[in-house]
Amino acid sequence: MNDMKIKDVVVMERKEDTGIGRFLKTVFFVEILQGMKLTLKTMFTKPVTRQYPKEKRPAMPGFRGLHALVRNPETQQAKCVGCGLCAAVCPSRCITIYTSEGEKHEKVVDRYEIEVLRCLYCALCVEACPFGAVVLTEHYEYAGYNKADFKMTKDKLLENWDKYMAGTKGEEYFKRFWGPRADDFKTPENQAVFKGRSQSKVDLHNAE
Amino acid sequence: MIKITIDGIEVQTDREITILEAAKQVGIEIPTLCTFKNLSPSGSCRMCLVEIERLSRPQTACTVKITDGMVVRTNSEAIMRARKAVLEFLLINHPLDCPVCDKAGECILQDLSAKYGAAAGRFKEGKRTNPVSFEDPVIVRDMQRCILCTRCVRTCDDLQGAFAISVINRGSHSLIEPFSGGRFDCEYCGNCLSACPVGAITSKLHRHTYRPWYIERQVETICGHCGVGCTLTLQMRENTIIRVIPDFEKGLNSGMLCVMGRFGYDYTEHEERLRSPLIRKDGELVPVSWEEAVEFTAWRLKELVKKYGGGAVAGIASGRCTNEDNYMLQKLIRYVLGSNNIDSAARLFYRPAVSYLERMFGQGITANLIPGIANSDGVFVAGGDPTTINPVLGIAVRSVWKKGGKVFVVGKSGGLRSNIKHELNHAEGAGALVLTWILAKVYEKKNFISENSIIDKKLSALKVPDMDMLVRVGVSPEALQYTADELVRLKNPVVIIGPETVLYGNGSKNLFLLGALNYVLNGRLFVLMDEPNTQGCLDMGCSPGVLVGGRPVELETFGHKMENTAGMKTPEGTGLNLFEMINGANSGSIKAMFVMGENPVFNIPDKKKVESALQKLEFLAVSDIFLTETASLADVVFPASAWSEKDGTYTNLERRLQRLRKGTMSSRGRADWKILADICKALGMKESYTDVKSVWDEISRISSVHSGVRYESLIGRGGIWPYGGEPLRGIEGDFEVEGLEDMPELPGFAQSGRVILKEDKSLIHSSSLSRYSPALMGVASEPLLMINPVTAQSLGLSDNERVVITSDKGTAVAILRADRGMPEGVAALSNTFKDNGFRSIVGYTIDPTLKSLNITDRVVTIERAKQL
Amino acid sequence: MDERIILRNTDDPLNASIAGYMAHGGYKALEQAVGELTPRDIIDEIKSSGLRGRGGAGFPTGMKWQFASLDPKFPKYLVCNADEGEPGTFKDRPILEHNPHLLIEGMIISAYALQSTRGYIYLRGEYPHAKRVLERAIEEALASGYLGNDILSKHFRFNLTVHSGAGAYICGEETALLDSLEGRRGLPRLKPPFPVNSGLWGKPTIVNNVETFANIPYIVSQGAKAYASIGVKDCPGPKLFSVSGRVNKPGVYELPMGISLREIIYTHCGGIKGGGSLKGVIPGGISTPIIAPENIDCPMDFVHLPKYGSMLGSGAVMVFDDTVCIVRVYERAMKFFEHESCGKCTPCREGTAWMRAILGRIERGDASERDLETLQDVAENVTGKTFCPLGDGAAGVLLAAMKTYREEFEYHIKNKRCKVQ
Repeated sequence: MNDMKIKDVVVMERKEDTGIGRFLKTVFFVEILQGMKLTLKTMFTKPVTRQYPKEKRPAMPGFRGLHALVRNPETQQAKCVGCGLCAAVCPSRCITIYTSEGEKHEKVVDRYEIEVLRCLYCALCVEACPFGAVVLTEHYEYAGYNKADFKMTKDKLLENWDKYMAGTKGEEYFKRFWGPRADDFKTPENQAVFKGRSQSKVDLHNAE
Repeated sequence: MIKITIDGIEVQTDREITILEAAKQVGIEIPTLCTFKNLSPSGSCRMCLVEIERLSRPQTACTVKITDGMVVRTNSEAIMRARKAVLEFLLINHPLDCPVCDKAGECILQDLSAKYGAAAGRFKEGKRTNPVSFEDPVIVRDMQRCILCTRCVRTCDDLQGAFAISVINRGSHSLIEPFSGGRFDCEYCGNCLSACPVGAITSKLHRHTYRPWYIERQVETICGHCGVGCTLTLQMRENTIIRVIPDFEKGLNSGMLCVMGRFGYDYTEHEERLRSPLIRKDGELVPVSWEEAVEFTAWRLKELVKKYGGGAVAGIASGRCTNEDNYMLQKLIRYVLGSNNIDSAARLFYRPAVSYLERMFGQGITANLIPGIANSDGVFVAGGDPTTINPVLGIAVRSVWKKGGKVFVVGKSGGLRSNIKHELNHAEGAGALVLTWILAKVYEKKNFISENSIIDKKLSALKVPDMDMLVRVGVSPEALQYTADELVRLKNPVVIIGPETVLYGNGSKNLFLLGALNYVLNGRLFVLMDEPNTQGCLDMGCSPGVLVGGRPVELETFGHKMENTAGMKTPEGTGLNLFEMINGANSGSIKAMFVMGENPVFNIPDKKKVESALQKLEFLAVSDIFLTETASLADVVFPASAWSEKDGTYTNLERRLQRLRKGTMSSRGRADWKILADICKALGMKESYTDVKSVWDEISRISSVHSGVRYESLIGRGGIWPYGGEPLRGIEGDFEVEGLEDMPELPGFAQSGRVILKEDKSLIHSSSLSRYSPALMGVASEPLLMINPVTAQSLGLSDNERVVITSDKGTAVAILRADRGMPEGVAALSNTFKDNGFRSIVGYTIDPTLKSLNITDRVVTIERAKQL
Repeated sequence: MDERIILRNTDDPLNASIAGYMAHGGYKALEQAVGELTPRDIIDEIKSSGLRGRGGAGFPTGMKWQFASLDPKFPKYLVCNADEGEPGTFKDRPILEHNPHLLIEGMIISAYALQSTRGYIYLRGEYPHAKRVLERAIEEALASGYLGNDILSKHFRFNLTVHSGAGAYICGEETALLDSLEGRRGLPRLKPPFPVNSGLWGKPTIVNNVETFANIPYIVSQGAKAYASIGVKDCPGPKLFSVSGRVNKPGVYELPMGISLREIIYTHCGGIKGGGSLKGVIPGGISTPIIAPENIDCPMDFVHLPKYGSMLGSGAVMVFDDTVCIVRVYERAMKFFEHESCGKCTPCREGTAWMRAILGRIERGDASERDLETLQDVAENVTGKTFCPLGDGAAGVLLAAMKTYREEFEYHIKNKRCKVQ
């Protein structure tokens, strides 16, 4: 190991500037001027800094911001069926899901929690979701004083959808960024699935 | 030596194995669906097709045996196409509901589809729909997802021997159904569930809550329900057990579990679990701190010992607690408080039976291996149904039958009904008659020359009943003759002894007859054990006459081994046994008692007597996980940690020492040894124990049978007592047989309207913890009275009726269930349900020879319950 | 061939009774066999006669018997496969109904040769009349001392039982038959072990077709040489052909092996009904591939037919003329295979149902070109990958038909109707 390390070290020899050249450079502040060149250049241009709280920059479409759970427009419930794939794929393990059996033997999502502080916004959860049930909204202003505020519960996440993905925005989001995914997992018309399950809670047929 | 080539890799074996096994040896994976551990190959899923040179069609690797010079290809294009085709076929009718299927993530079909399957399906015709059944309390059957690999059916038939499920219909309409149709009518072992490669048969307990990646921790431990000691794995999420799965590689059960082991784990999370220590203040049990409870107990014990002497204290140990717990209790009672009054519920049957047999043949006579039963060619069972008391041992008995061996059952055949040729179901109380006849016939036919004059002399003193007598007790001559004839032919027999041989009288004679039969047959003995650590409890010296390691107390008076090795001075004199303690409490000679993990009020007959005796005590301390009938009488109650919450060791009925490992911690209880060590400490004990290992170290230092067994080395199949099935000591002493030369009396049949009551050891509820398990209660939620249909009819009662059972000692309410296996005039009630336990309504005496439980007052009247 | 061997005297209504049978010289071969020959002699004789099993696979009977007789396990069982379930096949029926003693005599001789003491006739469930006839014949044979515990006073014991199947086609497969006979679900078993070593209840078992047994008395009485002179060299003897479909005289014909299909249709069966043109012939029951009209000169035996891409099977000749729609024929056939698939192995269970569904759509005119491709692919995925020959046959015959009559399938798809109508 040690031998290798020694080999890897290459000693660079720096050419020393000597004599008159060096003297002139020092006298005429050449190096300083060189350093100040950019400053001087930008001194007379319009500043690029935005005065953030006063001036807000609109997020680009597809920006990965605060999480939301998609609300099914027909049932007004979360589209999420609780398959847990997002939790499985999440590299920072910030998604926790608790599911149980409902009255009609269907799968009920009791708790869906995202610890926002641990999230690294990779959106793998969005990619993994077979039903397009979880999104990252364009909203990014969620600073807070309390750590507990950053633990997103199912209700909060659904609220986020209503707030930040209202109207056609959500539809657009999936169409533009995750559309093909959702189509792949669309259940064929005459496929027999979920016998005896409540259509209101888990609706695979409208899973695009 | 066979040489074959698989994918260019040469494989050499000296055995004729299948291509699949050969490929596995060199690390070539051949996908399979219908192949499963321990099952014979079926060749039906066609997933494992491989190409063999010089054969035109692809062959199934799971069925074809290798031959010399065979050249196999597993990865050619044609094979890949074949795999894709099979998966496509399977998926045309398989719902793609993986997101809500509990099997997703560990589903073989899913894995193989990802690996070999097509990206898209071409099937347009509409899927077949099959019913989803939620009717079962613990199992969900979703036949939409079934791929008909028949692993479940073959497991049920070939391994479990229950024959409960089968394929019905034909072709593409085939589906798996219970024989009974609709709901399973089986033992609910759930072994089909672990055989299912897809989500067709799943557990209801973790339905829709389970995902393989939710498992945060898993722990390999030992089942805490019966004396077999199956190895199983607990899978946990956030301190709750999500599910229990068997371990196919380790343990004596090789992947088989019973209903209790697989589903009966949820009692640990029951809401009635004790949460904090309780002390009786002004007649009420109120929560207190641990320190207060420990100090109070130590103070009371110290005070009472000072006042009445050590002999006024007694301790009751438990076969549900670990070796370390029991060791610590006997240390408290014997060495800290100075009393030899320590005993356990092992006194009721197991301890007297085993020690009697050991007196006949030497120590360790019952230390035989359970997996060895399967190698036997005949099993003789008496006194209890192994398939309900020790279910996995019962499976071994069935496998004997499966291999062509013979099974004989004296008494109710129960779960072995389909494995016997003739019933030997005798009238109540005639067991000794039947056994005497069989023993005498076998002895005569074997032309046996005994080396043991004591047994020989006793054998020749036996009076053999004539056939008429046996016919009168309901046994057919044909069955007897068959049994005797076949027994003589056995080369490697097994004799299994259950609790009924002792519990209902004639104990010593029954044990002598069975012991002698085993001696004449040269077989191996097994004594059924219904608690996980009854044997360990005895090994730890929780019996008045023996010290740790089975060392008799008398030896200590001149050997001083305990004193020399551990500095512990053993009190003199033999202590009181369980019954004498109760009597002592009643008469006032016992003033204080410590009960650990036991419920004597419920488990010893004559509830009123035991209850009043315990009430007379000046001080009663109980450590348990629930507020049991006994705990509610106590002055101090310690919440103990349950089976899944502690570390330690269990000794099973074959005396295999196995490690229990801590899994969840859903209660605030402490391990019993810890509670006891704290009390000892408060009473002035010098040693301090940091963990369970330090307790074990002390045990292995002073116990002769455990010496040298290191705690760390107890893994997997390791760590058995030093018995190879051979007696440790020679046979020397004589032993008593009560009524040896008497002709067994014909049992007096109960007068009309009166029925003899027995204890029913049901499969679901053979453990007293089962009543706290919602899963097991879901399978059998009410006490049942099993009775012969003819007797029921003569009493004017019909099936499924609520009845009141009245004896001289009490009453119980149960649902009547007609059972043809019961002899006429006999009914059976289990000792499980609160207020309706069998033992609460019968009385008892003590067997004079065995000093064991002899249940009396069993004549009851059964009436229809009044409508509410 | 002038003289009928298997269907000899079947015109005589008395032949079904033992008196009538014996009047025509019946049970002579048995007396000769038991009286003069050793079991070994009989097996050698059968071997040298070249008799091949008539059930469909054409396995040399003598060889099969030798395997069984070499197995040291006892008892040995003798099973007659009378589960004549193959669509188009009705060749065994005349033997069972009109010449039962020939079968029984053949079985007794076989039992003597194999030292078997127990025999079963697994009879097709749909043959109640044959059951009555057979049971009466067995009773008669028992009364006459040809069956029972001391046959012909030679201390030779053999008892025979008729067992009616429950209507499953798969039980014509020998191992499924044995399962069914044992009282279980009729599912094919793993081979090896073969039934000759481990058959009924794990004991050596010979399963032979009715027609095979019916050949035995002749071989024993007339000698292997005389028998071998009938038919063709590698495949001698007489063969029953059950001819059905569009011919003028359908029925069961006993003809020598190797006779050409043309001869059967035009010489013996009186040609095509209504004078139409021949479209195709299935030579050996529905699970043998169809033969195009240009190939009808092929000799009908186990050796030559495979060269024409087909098999002799059970010898059930089904003749189709130009009024028949091939798509419809195979849709119906696939319905049969789907219904009769036992469900044990995946390709057959799912594949037959799938193929039936696609064929149904093609027949209804509800399919596309792509469906035909899928059908071809599915059929190829089933062939050669199934547990037993059922699924293999189902897919194989469809592939053959699709190859020969592809334009008919395409016509259905393109024009959404049948070419024939």
